[in-house]
Amino acid sequence: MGDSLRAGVELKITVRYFAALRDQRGLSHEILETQSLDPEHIYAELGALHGFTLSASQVRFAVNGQYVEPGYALAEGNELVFIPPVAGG
Amino acid sequence: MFQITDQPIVPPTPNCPTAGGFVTFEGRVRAMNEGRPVQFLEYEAFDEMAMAEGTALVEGAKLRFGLEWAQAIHRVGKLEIGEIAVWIGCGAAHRKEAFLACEFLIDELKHRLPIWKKEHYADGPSEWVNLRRESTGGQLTRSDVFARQIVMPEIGPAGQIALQNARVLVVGAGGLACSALPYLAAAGVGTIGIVEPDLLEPSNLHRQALYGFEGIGRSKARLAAEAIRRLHPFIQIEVFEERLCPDNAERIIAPFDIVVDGTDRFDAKFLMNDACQKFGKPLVQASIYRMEGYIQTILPGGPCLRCQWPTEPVDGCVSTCEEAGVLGVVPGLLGVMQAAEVIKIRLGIQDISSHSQVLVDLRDFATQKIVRTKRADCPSCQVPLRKLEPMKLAWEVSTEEVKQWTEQFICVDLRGETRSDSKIALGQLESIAAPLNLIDDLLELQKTKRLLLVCAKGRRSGMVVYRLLEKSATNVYSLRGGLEYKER
Ligand SMILES: [Zn+2]
Repeated sequence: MGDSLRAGVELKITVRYFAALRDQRGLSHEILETQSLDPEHIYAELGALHGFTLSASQVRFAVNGQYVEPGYALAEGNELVFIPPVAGG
Repeated sequence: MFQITDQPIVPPTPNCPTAGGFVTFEGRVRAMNEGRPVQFLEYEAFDEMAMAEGTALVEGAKLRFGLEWAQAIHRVGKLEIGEIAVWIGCGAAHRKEAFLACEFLIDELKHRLPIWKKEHYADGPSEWVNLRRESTGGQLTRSDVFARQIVMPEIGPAGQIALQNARVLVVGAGGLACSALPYLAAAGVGTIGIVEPDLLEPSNLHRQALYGFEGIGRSKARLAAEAIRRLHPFIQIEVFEERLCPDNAERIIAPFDIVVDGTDRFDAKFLMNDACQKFGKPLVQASIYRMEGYIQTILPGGPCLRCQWPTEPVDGCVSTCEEAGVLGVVPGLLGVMQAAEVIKIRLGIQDISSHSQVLVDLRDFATQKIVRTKRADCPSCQVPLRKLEPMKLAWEVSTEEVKQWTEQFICVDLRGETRSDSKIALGQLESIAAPLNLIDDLLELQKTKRLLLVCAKGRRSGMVVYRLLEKSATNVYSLRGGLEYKER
């Protein structure tokens, strides 16, 4: 995981789940203490734990109300939202 | 027996030996209407409803008047002068019942059939007029229907005309569309297109409240058109009973101004995104999942859907409504929000969610705005951002424009009394207070002199001019911003 995981660095992040991901996690949000430092790796970490059906490349990430790239460098206290594709109409 | 036909009516020859008296009536297209020469007429019917009403009327008349034979035929489509628009024939044992029944039928058919008429004059077409409304006296005007929103400062006559000139395409006639469509129509959007190939299924009804169970098995696009056409006559509806696909997307989308995405397919969403970018049209998107949904408006120039999803999600990667389930009020709410976005776009109200996506959770009514950003290498949204200009009306004039007028004019002061300040400001021929029969008197007066209507803020004068123009006035103006207007 290279740079995204630095020994000893731990971030407290609020994670919010939208739509199908909320159902798969069984929660709307949670506070996480993690050593993964970008959205993509946090997603992979949580996905392995909770069995998300979508891969990180199929999901979009927003931090503090703004879309970001999967490798965005997170900071302490950030609010991270996982947004899966939604097509219902 | 009742019939609707788009072919010229050939009066039937009754064959009924028990009837001794036959009375027939032919309604034909006349060359003049309200003093204006008519070129041709168009009739449009809600087929199924008109068939049901017409059949019930003819059968009812047979029972009521003891007829031996009865038939009524209504023509639809384009009719030339002199053609038969409606034909009625009644046969009874004696003539009296036949006469009575024939008169009864033409009155009732005019009164009850859901049929619309449009007159084409040399100088352009009239509005669609509901025959039912016409027969009950007095034509419905836009000011009657839209009064409560025209009075809003954000709308006014200019905003109402902007809506009336708008062409809005709604793709999909499912849950989102079922709430977007009636509010778009009710607000006075002049032309609405509906794209939907599917037939109504029982499992649609819990969230698609525009329909009823009697429509099961019928075309949803047509059902939706019928439902919104009932609202008022100031609407044109174009129905596309086909699925949006690469072969038809550009053809269908190109003639419209704004597109509303009410589909549940990723491929359709991306097609709309690309076509709307190509033709420079705003796209109002929404999608739902169980008790959540999102809405976003994509403007020409982006950020667009491909900026958000550089790799297109494939259909089936997440559950659809069918698999995941959905609470009916979710598309209901999001669809109404889409209608609100369309109206704001058309009115030039800038506060639309054009650079963000709004996530809505109905569990706790939480909403979250996520700012979207444009990708420099996006293949889709490389057109320049188009600024939406607010509507300008030729009949709303500034004091500077008035001072350029060479034609003499009368200033009509709607403030309740005539004060000297309007005369000094504008240099008109004379100032008068609002006459007693405001609309009728001004309609007469403008035939001989140009009228400039003024009030404090220009709103009341704008409303009155809008009404006068609806009644075919030609020489009336409103002072923009009113007499209290200060240049900023
Ligand atoms: Zn783009």
